[in-house]
Amino acid sequence: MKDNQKNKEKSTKRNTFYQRVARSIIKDRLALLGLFIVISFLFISILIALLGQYILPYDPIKMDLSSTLLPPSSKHLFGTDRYGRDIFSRLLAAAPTDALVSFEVIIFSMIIGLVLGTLSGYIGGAVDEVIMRVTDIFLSFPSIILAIAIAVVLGPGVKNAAIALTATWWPTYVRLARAETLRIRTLGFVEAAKVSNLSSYQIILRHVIPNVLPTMVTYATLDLGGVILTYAGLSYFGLGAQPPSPEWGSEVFAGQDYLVIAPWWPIFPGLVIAVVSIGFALLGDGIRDAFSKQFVSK
Amino acid sequence: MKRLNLVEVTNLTKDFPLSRGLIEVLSRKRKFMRVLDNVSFSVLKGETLGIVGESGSGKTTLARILLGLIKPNSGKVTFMGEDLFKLRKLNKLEVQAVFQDPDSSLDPMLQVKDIVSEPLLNEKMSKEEVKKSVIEMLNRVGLSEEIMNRYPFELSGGQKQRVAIARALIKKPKFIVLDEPTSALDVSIQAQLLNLLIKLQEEFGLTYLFISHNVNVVNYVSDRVAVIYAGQLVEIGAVDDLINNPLHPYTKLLSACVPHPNPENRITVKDFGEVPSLINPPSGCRFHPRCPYAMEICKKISPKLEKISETHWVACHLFNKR
Repeated sequence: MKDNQKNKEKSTKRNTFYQRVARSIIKDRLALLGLFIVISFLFISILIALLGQYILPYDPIKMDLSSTLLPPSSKHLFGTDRYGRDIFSRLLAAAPTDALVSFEVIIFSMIIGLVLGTLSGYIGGAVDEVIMRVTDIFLSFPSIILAIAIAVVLGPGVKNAAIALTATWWPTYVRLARAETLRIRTLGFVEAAKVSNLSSYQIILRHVIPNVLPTMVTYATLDLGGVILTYAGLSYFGLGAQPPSPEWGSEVFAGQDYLVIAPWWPIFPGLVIAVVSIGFALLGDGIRDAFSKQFVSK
Repeated sequence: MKRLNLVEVTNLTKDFPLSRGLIEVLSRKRKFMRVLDNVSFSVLKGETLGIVGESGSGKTTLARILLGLIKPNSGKVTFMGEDLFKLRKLNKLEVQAVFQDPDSSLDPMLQVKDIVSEPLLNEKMSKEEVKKSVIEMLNRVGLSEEIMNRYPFELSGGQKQRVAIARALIKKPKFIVLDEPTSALDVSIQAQLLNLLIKLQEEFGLTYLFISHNVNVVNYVSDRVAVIYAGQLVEIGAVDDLINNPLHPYTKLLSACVPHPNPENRITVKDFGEVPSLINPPSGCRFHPRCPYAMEICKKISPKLEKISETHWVACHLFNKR
């Protein structure tokens, strides 16, 4: 009797799938650390993007030749560069572009991956053959080299860097979505949907995409750190935001000559890139665990 | 009293290509595996036809053909006198299915109400009507409506299979293919589910094709039973005929494999060897390498189905009257 009542209470307070995933992440300490890093990164990015100059301790672009190459202190948290600009302010100012670029790249790659991958895997035949061979062509280049090549052709700049990255990033997502689709299409619920006269289009939308999505989201979170890293690579080569706009990668590049006399200049931007990438990786791991837990019955 | 044939299967043959290597494709020397070989039978309206056979005998392939999911290489399948695949194309095929593994036959990302209502997705029905029939169906299969918002992994094996049955029934089909619906479940739940299926059959006037490797289960639910071996139909008859008077040596072997409650009465079955390869099936009767009564003729000529009585047919040279 009591059990029955308990069950009733439980069933009235039903949580959706994604709510339970969220709860599982909160229980995982490393994932929580990752979540903390990612959220602070996003929060800072949004804050800077909205309020810009008002909250930055110093103007990130204005030179001040009276205070060049100062070591970290309470006045300049990460020190100053050769032009007397506060490195901390410059790194903060660069956060919104990095966040925007990495999310753009991942989201567009996911959309392309979901559409092409599920079609390729579900319909098969000639469609599959064409999509996969095009994917193979893109995958046959090392991603950073292809990204640099495309960025060089398009010309430097944030938007072009994002396009170049997306162009190299999507094939993995197509592969992933296709592999998952191939697994899903043999399962009983797809057969049952066919028996119920659902069209291929309906089956892809109703059954295939929702079942591919958890894997894609997990992979994407793990992958965001990679995009940030690669974008830093592009901007290191001068293909991202153009000077004097601040950029994590270009900051490392500008500072590397001063590694001996002013180590804080290249090291702090490098640290920021590393911490943010690791944060995404930790969160991605947590999300993967949380998703896989949901499919084990109690 | 002759009952109507709901489904009629004539000379059904299905080959699966083995390899799709470039050389085979170019030289057109692709190897095939004959999964179903010249199978003919019919399912009477309102009956349960059991199909028994061991793994790899072609049971599931037969089920998928009857559901219109795959096409046979030759042979004809009619549903109420019309071509089954034509009906499937026109979305007029009143056939549903319950599959073996309830874990994979329910989409883990959908709630029970969406799973059960899926066959009505392309019907012009209001949300209220759909919800009403989902509740009705859940009650009919012995589930409470509170289960509607749950996900499959929150259900037990028996509940999952009941949900699958509710989905199969919601559009009021005429014919249901049950592909080993109970083999993934505990014995106690199996019995409940079989009784539920029998009850629903009476209530909705359904016709079942019940596929299983378990002779006991098939005998329990079926009116008639067909035995298939390596893709060939070897014996078909009323349940009583097959239990009390199994004729084909393979049917006898199957019956002998049924565990007997009293170990004293148990029939010991000698090792009869493996299921034959479908790539290079034995010549003549496919059962002859394992058959204790094999004769010379069995190696050469494949036996035809012979009528023994009004309800009982067998394909074996031992019973060939000529």
